[in-house]
Amino acid sequence: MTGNYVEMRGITKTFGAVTALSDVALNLPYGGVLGLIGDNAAGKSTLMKILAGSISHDHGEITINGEQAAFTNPIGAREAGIEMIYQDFALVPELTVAQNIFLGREITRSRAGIRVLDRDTMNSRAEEMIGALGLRVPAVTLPVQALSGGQQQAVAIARATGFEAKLVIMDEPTANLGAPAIEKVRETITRLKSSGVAVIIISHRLEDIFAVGDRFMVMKQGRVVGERDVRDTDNADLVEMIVTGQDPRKVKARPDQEKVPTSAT
Amino acid sequence: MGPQQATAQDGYTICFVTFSLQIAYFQSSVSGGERAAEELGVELIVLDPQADATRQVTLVEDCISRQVDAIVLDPIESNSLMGPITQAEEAGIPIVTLDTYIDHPNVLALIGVPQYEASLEFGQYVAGYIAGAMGGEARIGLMIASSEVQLARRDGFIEALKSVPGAVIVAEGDGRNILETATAEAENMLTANPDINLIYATGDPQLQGGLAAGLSQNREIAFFGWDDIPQPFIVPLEEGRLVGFLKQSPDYGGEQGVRILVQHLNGEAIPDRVSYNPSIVTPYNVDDFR
Amino acid sequence: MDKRTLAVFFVRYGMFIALALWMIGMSLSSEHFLTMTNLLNVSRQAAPIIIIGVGMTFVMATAGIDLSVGSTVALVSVLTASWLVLGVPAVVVIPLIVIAGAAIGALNGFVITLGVPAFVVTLATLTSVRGVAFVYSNGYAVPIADPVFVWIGRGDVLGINTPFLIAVIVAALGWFLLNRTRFGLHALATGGREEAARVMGLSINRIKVMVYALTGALAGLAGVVISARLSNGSPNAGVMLELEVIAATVLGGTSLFGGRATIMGTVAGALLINFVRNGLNLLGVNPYWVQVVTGIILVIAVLMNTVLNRKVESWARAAPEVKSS
Repeated sequence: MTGNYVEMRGITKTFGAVTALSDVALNLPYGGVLGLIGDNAAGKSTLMKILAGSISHDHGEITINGEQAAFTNPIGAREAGIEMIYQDFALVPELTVAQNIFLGREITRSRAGIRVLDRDTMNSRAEEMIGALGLRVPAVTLPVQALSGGQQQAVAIARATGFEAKLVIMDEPTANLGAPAIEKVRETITRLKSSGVAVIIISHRLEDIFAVGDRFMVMKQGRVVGERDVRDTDNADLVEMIVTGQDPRKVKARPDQEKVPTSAT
Repeated sequence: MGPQQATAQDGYTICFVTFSLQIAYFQSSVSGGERAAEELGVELIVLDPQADATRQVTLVEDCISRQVDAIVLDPIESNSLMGPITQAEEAGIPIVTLDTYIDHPNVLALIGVPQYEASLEFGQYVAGYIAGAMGGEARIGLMIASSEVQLARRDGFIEALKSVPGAVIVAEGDGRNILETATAEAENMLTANPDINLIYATGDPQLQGGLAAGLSQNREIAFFGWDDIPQPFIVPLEEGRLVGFLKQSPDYGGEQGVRILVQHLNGEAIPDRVSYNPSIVTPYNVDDFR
Repeated sequence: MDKRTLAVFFVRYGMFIALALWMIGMSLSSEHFLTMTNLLNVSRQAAPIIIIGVGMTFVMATAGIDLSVGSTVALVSVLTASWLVLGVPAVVVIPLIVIAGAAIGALNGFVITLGVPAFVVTLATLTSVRGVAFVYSNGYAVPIADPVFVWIGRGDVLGINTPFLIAVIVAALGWFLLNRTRFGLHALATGGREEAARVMGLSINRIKVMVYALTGALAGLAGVVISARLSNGSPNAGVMLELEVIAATVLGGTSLFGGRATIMGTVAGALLINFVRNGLNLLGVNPYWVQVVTGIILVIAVLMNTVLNRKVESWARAAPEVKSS
């Protein structure tokens, strides 16, 4: 096969009468950073939730690292090395930073034959994970609801990157953040890329992907419009694809024919 | 009427744990007790468990903690009270009960109508009525409730009826001491047994419910029952629908309860039974009870 | 930030402070309050609430509620008495009863996982289970004379009455389960933000069924204690008990909306409610006022918890962002 870490082919998903995704294909090379862009209801979040195991697809196949993937829940996706940072962070407000980071994969030790939470180890590991990202929270023993928005995002990022993930999906990571926090996110993505971790970013901020990404993929109403290499496009080009739903570089192709996207033009 | 305290200069403190102040019978019993307390200079603490057996146990325990001198108790479920009564014994607090007998050395006396014996006598009165006015034959429906007291009233009655072979009990309904339930039960019973011509009710709501059902179905039925407060039954008596009922005197009972405890605390000997005979009220003597 | 630490302290320990203040106040007002007899009496009265309260704490942690516990007590009470009369030994009856309670709870939990709100499901169970109790017993209370039960209801171990001892053991185990095991943490996550728990791969349905089964089992155990204390099995047992349990749990600081729960708080809440009633009784206050007072305390406690929590959050967000190293 090609040197892609993730390949998705013919992905289709309907919710009742609504077709959210129709014959979508996606390629992601190892350590590549892909920006997934498009207007509302383009199907970006749905596609990523399928990849992260949160929801299941109706048709199509997913290949990870050369093997067919058939996970049906988030744990399966995580075992395949895929982590997702949700737009609302998906943190439990009343639980501590450490508890949130280790939710579902808590470290335990055995006390008189019973599995007991190893809070000390989890606390110190959580501190390490956040520190490794170059980020800071007041204390890993504070409930997450006592943290600011940027700090909560740090927790969400630490959770997604601290378990040897090979692909991190970020859903609108820079929405509602101030400039310093946005810079932190870009640094994190660069750091991940340099350690060989692939990243998919859903974002409406094209400048962030121009700054740290490799490729764009544009979607509209559940279909792939087109793809671009970051060095080979500009704002106007992308906006035209988002708005019209057509790829001007394929304008000679018949409108009802969807070509399987190949490598960059 | 809510729980109150009769203040006393210096004298005994007695707890009066009633059954439920939502029922007129017990309100009357408590006012009898308060009357005696005032006369004797006793501080009376009235506690109302609202017909909840668990709460009554808790209230007796609280009385013990309060180290009162004695307790008047109107038991809801005798079994449940054994524990606290023993605790009271250990604390040196004597107890008398109203209406229900509890077999425990610390319960010094029972005040009230001996339910089984009284209903045995009343049953004999009813048996006489059946023999005389109904030709010795009767189809009887029973309206009861499942408390100890009312089951005893039922059993005494059944025993007495054995003397009249033509008197047959065909049905039994449980009114649960709630008027609406008793009325519905009685109606069902009368519909299912069109041949019932006599009803015996072991308690106030059961009697009222039975009368209401009989009236709405326009049946010719002779009613007999137990009652506490006569007001609802004066009219049926006069109209002849109600043949006779047993009337207790709860205020006398409450008064006696306080009185004999004070006698005991003063060192006097007291009887272990203070009973009185309930009056049988019929159309002929109803004027005495208005 | 000292004010923040103080607020967190009050939120976490407020109920214990209130309980301590009440005990001090009462012992100064009435010479009968702080006696061994009285303290043991009240602890025995509070025991069934504590036992069921441990379960209710877990249920509320998942943002659920269980209104059926009082009716489970009634059914259990009736079954206990009738099985003992049939000659089944107490040591067999008690585990069977706990299993029966767990089964009722599991049924609750299962229907809840189908999407029906917990309030509705457990309300339906409340009516139907008590109905079954009445059908089974025909409305009659059956006396219990079994010596094991007599010991459970009125006996003691080293001077501590058995019901309270059972309650303490249940509370200790419950505390451990909630605070030291994965199960407890996952229950809190389910209630705190179910979506987050779901995407992190927790089996939400299994957790819910288990917390309701746990509560049902504890209601069964409490039913055994109550029947033993009253020496009879009655379909009228446990009427309104669910409200007392919920009040104690909420009073203790467990949030009705999930995510925050404390076993020690529930214990303190149950003790406070019972000591309030007991103290006012000893002072000769009209008992009907006790209900009013308890209600007022409940409202104040919940207000304090909600308001203080919000304050903590807003103070935290106003804190300056800590610079990275």
